[in-house]
Amino acid sequence: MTASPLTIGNLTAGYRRHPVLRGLTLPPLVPGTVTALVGPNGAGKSTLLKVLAGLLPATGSVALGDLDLLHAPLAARARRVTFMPQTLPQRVGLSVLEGVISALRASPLEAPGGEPAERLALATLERVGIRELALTPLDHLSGGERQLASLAQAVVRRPTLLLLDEPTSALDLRHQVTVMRLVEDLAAEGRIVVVVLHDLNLAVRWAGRVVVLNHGTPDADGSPLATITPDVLARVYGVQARLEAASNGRPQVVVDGLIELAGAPRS
Amino acid sequence: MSTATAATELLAGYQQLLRRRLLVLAVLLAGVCGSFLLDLVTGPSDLTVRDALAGILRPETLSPSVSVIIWDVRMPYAVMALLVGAALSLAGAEMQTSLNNPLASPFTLGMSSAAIFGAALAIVLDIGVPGVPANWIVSANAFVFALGSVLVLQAVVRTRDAGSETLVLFGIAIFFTFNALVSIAQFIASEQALQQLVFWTMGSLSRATWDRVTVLAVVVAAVVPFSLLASWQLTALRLGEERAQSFGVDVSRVRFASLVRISLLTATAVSFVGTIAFVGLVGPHIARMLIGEDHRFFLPASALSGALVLSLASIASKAIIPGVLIPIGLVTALIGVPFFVTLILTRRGRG
Repeated sequence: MTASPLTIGNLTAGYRRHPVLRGLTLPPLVPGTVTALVGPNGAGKSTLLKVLAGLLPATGSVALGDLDLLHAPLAARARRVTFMPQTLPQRVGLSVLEGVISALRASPLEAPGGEPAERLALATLERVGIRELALTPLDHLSGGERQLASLAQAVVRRPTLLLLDEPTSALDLRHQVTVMRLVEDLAAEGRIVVVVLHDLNLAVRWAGRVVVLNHGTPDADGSPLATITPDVLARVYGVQARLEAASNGRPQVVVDGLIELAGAPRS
Repeated sequence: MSTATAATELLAGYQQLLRRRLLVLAVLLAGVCGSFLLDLVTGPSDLTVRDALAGILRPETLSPSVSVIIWDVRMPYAVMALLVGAALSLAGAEMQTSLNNPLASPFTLGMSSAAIFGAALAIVLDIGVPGVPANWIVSANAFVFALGSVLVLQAVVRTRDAGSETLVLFGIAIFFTFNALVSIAQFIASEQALQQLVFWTMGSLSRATWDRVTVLAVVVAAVVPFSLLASWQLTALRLGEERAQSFGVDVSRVRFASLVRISLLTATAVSFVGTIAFVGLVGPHIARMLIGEDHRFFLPASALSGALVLSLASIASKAIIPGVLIPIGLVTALIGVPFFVTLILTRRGRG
């Protein structure tokens, strides 16, 4: 897979009077890396993700290699970028396989080697680990299975830039690991993966790079251990937290309490 | 089981599913044909199915009087029932998908109120589109207002780049505005005009003529291919608006094209037969239960279900009180509801 880095410069987006992102600039996001976007509610994580997905207008520059993502036609963007929202809608009269096929057929996309959509979709379900659910209606799935079906819809389009909005938010422990391991594999194939996460321990465990957003600007950016520190957590979340080595040696975020921010309104 | 054989089996399962859906479409089509024949033979003068078939296949073998009954009276009604049912139900299916709302129908955005007001202008105040022959003036008015209401709606929504919710809210505003205007028209109308307007509002096939049947047939035939062309995009839209957009579906464009099709189908149908509300809501639901939401099958199934429901309603409108043609708009719900409830209950039982 030939992928070029994603560059984000001087990005401003949000509401007319209250921009959520103000002149956000990030060092290039490189293929092969899972980048986690973390930060408190309202920090601009979802806004940034939606701008990258072309769902919100913005000023500044976003480029994937030589493709200007802020001005690219929908079709050109859709060939390279796929966005996975938090949830699948309820009460959809489609099976898992049909969902994946319609993701593929929604807009023209060259199939590798002219493979028929059905086979490509089945291969993707196999890869995501829910092949045996192919003919099950989406409405009969558990929350974890739904999320895997949703991920399959995104993956089947073989994006070079994959954008995931809180993919683990409603999942049990097993499915959290299943999803994050898949995300890691997808990046390892040479994709740029950007994932919004609330669970900092998932970010520490699975992300190669963490961007901590606060008030629409990056407060910290780098490896998980360089970014998720007591200082940053105190400043950004207003919590007293520490990182403890678990028995297997992995660091775990432990939150002890709140810090009353000087001058900040309590909420 | 090896990966390859499992995949082959699932693929076969999927293909079997597709074949089953084609079969459902074929059964619906057969039902439509049967209902159509029954509709032809139902009425005050006794005809047999053989007469009806002969009338269609070899009209020259019939006596002139039977020929007149079949070709000039029964056939336009029966064909109109099929076309109106198909048009409203297809419009309802597209509306439910593009507004992402299972309660939507072709009339959700106030199109029927606009059409009724157009008709009221012609019936009560004699105001019509210039240059239109007198016997078309009510229809022309209804058509212009129904189509106009959607274009205004779309223009407003476009300037704000708003989503389906805003669209529905503006639609409700249009609905109440035109309802108020219709009430004013009724208030100032003469007794005779009022009666005529109320009757028009009820929806009746008795206004069917071959001219009108032809116009509606042309509109349906022109719209259906575009609906089917959009079927993958509409299916993707069911997976969520933002998701579909990221799959390369230009959601606002698809929605606009869909609204144009809906308004053409609805405005034409309503302008000829008045408002027949229920079929556009329930046709798509019947189709969804029978066939799912792959729009390649769902859209044709909706059209066929609507045609079937309205054709059955047309039979009932003649059969309930022999010799009296009850306006079909009043019968549709009576026919559709038991059908619908049976489907829901049998489905529950199975699941």
